This record gives sequence, structure tokens and C-alpha cells, in this order.
Amino acid sequence: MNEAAAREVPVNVLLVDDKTENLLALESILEGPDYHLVRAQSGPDALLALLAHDYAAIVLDVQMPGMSGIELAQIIRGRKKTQHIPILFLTAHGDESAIAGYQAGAVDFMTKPVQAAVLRSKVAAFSELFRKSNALKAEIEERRQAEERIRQLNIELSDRVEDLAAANSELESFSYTVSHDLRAPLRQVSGFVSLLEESLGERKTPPDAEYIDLIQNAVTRMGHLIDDLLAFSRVGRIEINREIVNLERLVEQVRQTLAPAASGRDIQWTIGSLPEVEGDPAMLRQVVFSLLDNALKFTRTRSPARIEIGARTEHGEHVFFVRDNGVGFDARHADKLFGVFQRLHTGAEFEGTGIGLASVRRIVQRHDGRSWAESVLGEGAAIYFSLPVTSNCLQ
Amino acid sequence: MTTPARILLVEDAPDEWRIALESFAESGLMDQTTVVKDRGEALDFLYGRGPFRQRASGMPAVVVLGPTMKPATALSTLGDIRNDADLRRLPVVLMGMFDVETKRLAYAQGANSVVGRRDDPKSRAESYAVLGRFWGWANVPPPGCIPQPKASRP
Amino acid sequence: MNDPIEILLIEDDPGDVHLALAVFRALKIADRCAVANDGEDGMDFLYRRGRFAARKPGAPRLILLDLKMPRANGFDFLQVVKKDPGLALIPIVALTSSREERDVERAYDLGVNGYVVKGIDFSEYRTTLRSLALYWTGVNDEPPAYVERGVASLRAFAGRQLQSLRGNLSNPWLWPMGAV
Repeated sequence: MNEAAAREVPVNVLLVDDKTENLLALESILEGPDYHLVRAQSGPDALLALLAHDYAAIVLDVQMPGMSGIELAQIIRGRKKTQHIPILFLTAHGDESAIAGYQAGAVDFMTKPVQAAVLRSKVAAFSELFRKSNALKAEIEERRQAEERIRQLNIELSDRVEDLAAANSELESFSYTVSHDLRAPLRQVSGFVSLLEESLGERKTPPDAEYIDLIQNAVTRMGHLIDDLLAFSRVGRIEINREIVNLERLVEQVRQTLAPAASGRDIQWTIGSLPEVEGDPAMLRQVVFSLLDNALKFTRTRSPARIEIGARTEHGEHVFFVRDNGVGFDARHADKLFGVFQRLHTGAEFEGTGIGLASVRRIVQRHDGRSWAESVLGEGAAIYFSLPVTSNCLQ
Repeated sequence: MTTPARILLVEDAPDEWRIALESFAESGLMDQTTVVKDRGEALDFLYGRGPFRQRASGMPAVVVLGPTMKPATALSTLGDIRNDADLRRLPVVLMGMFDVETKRLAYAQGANSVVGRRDDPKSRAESYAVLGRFWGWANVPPPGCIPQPKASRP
Repeated sequence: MNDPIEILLIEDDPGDVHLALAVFRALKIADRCAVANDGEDGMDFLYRRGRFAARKPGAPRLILLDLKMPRANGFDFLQVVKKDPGLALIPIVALTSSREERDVERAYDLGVNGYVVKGIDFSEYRTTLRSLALYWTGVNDEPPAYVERGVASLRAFAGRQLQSLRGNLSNPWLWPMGAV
């Protein structure tokens, strides 16, 4: 509530006098849009009025039959709800001593006959005080409510964090279950088929052998799927262990690991100079492995296969690419490439589970980088990823 | 020095480590084995200090304390490993003729395995070969050790 | 039935038990293999109580321990057995589907002697299990004599006495427990 708005609302002023003519006189002095005047002709009347509403000021005749103005004032001061309401005593000349005890606080007095201008200005001053303190109260209340909202939001936020942590640990136990419980039946399928094959011995027919092979292949494929899915979920939940990683060395290590897949093939490698980056060595190794593994896989029909690995630094990030002259893919599907289980080739053409690049994207994202792909179908592909240049490993 | 050592053999006698290496060769572990001659060298190797400052990173998948090592030295080497925060989980195998008390001590101090010495060279070679196949290939070492190589999947 | 038990296999999955026994049968050690269905059952075997109350005394040369099991799992089992001085020396090799680093680490921290992963591919699994069985039942020395709880120190004392009488030639592992 702002001050201008507060001013428009009339404030209550209580007029207490046993004589009607006095009340009328007071009313005529104070009349106007600023006040809502309430009259009381006795102490009890006044107390009744005070029960119902809040008042900006009380104009009180000291001399009243029955309960005197002084007694009434004592009662008003004694009540918590009313003790702060300013009282303006109207006294006969010579009675000032009677209210000596009330000098303190929001108490004032005037001697009769009342001077209109003085009364008006005194009541106006009390009203102003009342309005201001109301506005202040409103502001405090507003602030309290805002704080309460913030507190609520904080509670909600911490609930969310807890939910998230719970979901995370559920996910973790889920992947644990997947790793353990899905593997056991697979191992048993593979195991019992092998035992069956052995017990068939000489009686095994060519179709039997074929079926057995097909079952074993399916088991192997399912095993790879489980492994990849687990690796993918792990990428999302394990903490990143940041270190300075020499990508040239990393690429070399991965090439050694992949040597069996490259042996017997004509492959021309072009490896540019690669910077050091900051990141999780194991995760980055997985990224490089996936990209080189893909490049080797999709150039299998090429001789020579050309694989180029390079990097450039621009706009505060290192951009890496692995380019090959393999079968490529339709550029329209470039973004699908990074989705889980998205494959642009059939299993018969090129084996794979469709999780590798999804893991790449997730790892790169977790390192605050980006990943994208370019390709012309039939001519080759280039997969890019970027990592921010950090102060720890400026070239 | 560049090939990571998956087996660290602590053995002083050339005859003995020749038998060991030949047996390990059968399962393709020969070039993944590093031989050091005593406790001091073994610790230098594990901590990657002194002559081993340049060694490839990663802890061996097993430390084999060879049969010519004195039982007391073997036990204190085992103690060195078990009392170090970074080494304490390393698989350690003690080889040699031990009396029951020493054997009990070795197991109680956390030896993963104790292998009695066979006098006949042929059965000795056989026990190295079996040892290599288990610790070098079948067993999954604790994190930080050089893992078992897995086909072409990371 | 009369052969001493060499391997105690603690595994809750009947399919996996079947496969392991098939491998052991080929190695002719299946008769000396006992099976417990979970950690609790495994402890019953070692402490000769419950359904194993009547079994002949003596400890296995090797315990193969699955980690994920109902009731007491592998970790629970390790926590009890590796703290019991009478059982702590029996080699225990974890045999599990989990390659998760935290499981490997936790198992070693709880004192497993080895950790073997049951792969999916059966020929790989068979090779692994074979080299495991060959090593632990053929090459690894038996742990020093198993002594029953409560009378451990007495038996150890008696063992040392006998040991000095018999010299180093005899192997205390082979003594029938009742005789010590």
C-alpha cells in the first residue's frame, strides 16, 4: 500500500464528550473527507467503540459524569490493543494538573474553548502519524510475506534437490540391477547353449550349429548393449575428475587399443597437433575411442581409408574433429546421430548399439562443450566436439 | 620401461625368475612382468621413484614375492604394502617354503595368497603358469591397478 | 560325499550354480564342492549349524562368493567371516557379475583374496573359472589349520605341540579335526 492510496482512505477519529452540543461542535471543526468521525457520549460508549475499530486519535473531554476522561484514559492505556492510540484531552482552564501524569507519549491536551485551527492541526498530525505507521506496518507485512515466499521457495527447492538426489540414487541402483540381474540370464543362455552343443556332440546337424551360433551372437550383442547402456548411464552420474589431459597422447593410446581393428587394412592417418585440455581423462578417452572406433568402422569398405584428426582454437574453445572418407550419412539426420539407440545404418551393414555418440554428446556437455556432425552420404563424415579453453591449459 | 607391469615379481635368483618368465610367456604375460630383486627395489617401483621414476603409470595387478626371498623380508615387504594408504589393496602373493606360523602370519597380515615352493622345476614352472593365468588374467585387481585388457571395448 | 569339501560356492542363482558345477565337473572337483544359497546359508555351513549342523568338520580350501544375494549378501558375509579369527584365513574369492569399481574396492577392503567377474560369454567364463579353481585348489597353499571358535587358542597350542612332534613333514591341514 503506498502513501497516496493511504491518504484517500479516511481514518477513524473517536470523539468523546457527554454533551451533544460539544460533540457537534467538534464534528463541525473536523468534518471532511480525511476523517471518519465516531462519537461516544460516555466512557463505556467510548470503550465499546474502541472494541470495534482502530482509531487514529481520540479527542476526549476530561470532565464527564460517571467514568471521567482520566479514568477512561487509564483503561485505554491499560489495554494492549488501544494503548498506542494518541489521546487529545480537552480540559477546562485550571485542570491541566489532572493530566500531568499523561505528559509522556502520544498524549496532548487543549484547554476549552477549543480553537478550531489548533484542534484541526493536532488531529491532522495524529492522523498523519497513524497513516504513516499503517503504511509502515503494511510494508513490513509485505516484506514478511515476501520473505515467507522465499522461505517456501527454498523449502521447495531443497525438496526438489532431495527428489533429484533420490532419483539419482534410484537410477544408480537401477543400473546396478541392470548390470547384475540382466547379465546372469544371458550368461546362462550362453552357458547352457554351449553345454547343449557339447552334449549333442556328433549328433549336431548343420542347422543346429547355425542356430547355436545365432543364439551366441544374439547373446554377445545383448551383452554389448548392456555394457554400453551402463557406460552411458555412468557418464551422466559419476563426478568429473578434472585433470590436464594431453590429447595427442590420448589419441595415440586409443589408436594402440584399436590396433587389432585396424590390422590388415590400408589406413592413412593424418593427425594434426592437438592441444592440452582440462577434463576427465577416462571420459575423454571414451570420447576419443568412440570417434576413432566409428571412423574405423565406417571406412571398412574403403581402401585406402583416410582418417584425419585435428583441432583448432576459436572463440575461447578448442574444436576437435575426426574426419573420414567412409560411407557417411544423410546430412538431414545429423542430429539424430547423437540420440540414444539412434542408428543410421542397419546392424547387418555395420555393427553397433547406437549409444556411442550419445555418450560422446553427454560427456562433452558435461565438460561445457558442444558436439555436432557433418557428412555427405557416400563420401565420408566429420564429427566435431568442442571443449572450453581454460586458464589452466592455455597453449 | 614403457610397457605397464601387470605383474611385479620380487626375485633375486636368475634361475628362478627365468622359470617364472618362461611360464608367464605361455599366457602372454612375459612382457607385462617386471622383475625387481629385493624389497627396496620393489618399493621404489611401487612408488615410482629412483630408477623407476619414468615407469608407466598404474599399479601392478599383483605383487609376487618370490621364493628365494627370506620369509621375514617377505613379511615386512607385505607389511610395507598393507600399511600404505595408496598400496594397501594391492594383491600380494608370497611364494616359498613357510612354516605354519609364518603362513598364518602372512595370511593374518593380509597376504592374498601363499604358494609353497615346489622343488621339481617342472611343477614349479606349472605353478607359475597357473599363478599367471589367475592373477594376470582372471582376477580383477582393485581400482588403480592396471586392468585386464579387454578386447577392443574400453 | 566322503571327500573333504574343497570349495564352498555361495550363490543364490540356481542357473549360475549349475554352470559353475558343470565347469567343476569337467575338472573332476565337483564332488568336493558344497553349495550355499546365500550369505546366511554360507555362514551356517562354516559354523556347522542349521541344515549343515551334521556335516563333517573342517573348512573349505576356498570360498567362492557371489556379492548380490538375498538375506546376507556377500559383503555381509565378508564382514562376519573375515572378523572371525577361526575363519579369517580361508581364502575367499568374489565371483560376481559386477565390475563396478565401488564393489571391487569394497570387496578388497573387506578382505577378499581375489575378485573374479562372471562374464556373459560362456567360454570366457569357463576359462576364468578353470584358472580360478586350478590356482586356489592346486597352487595356493591351504590356510593354516581351521580352528573352531571358543577353543581356538587351545587348539592352536595343541597344534603347535603336535607340529613340533611331527616335524615339518606333515601338513596340519590334513589332520582330522577331531584328532587335534
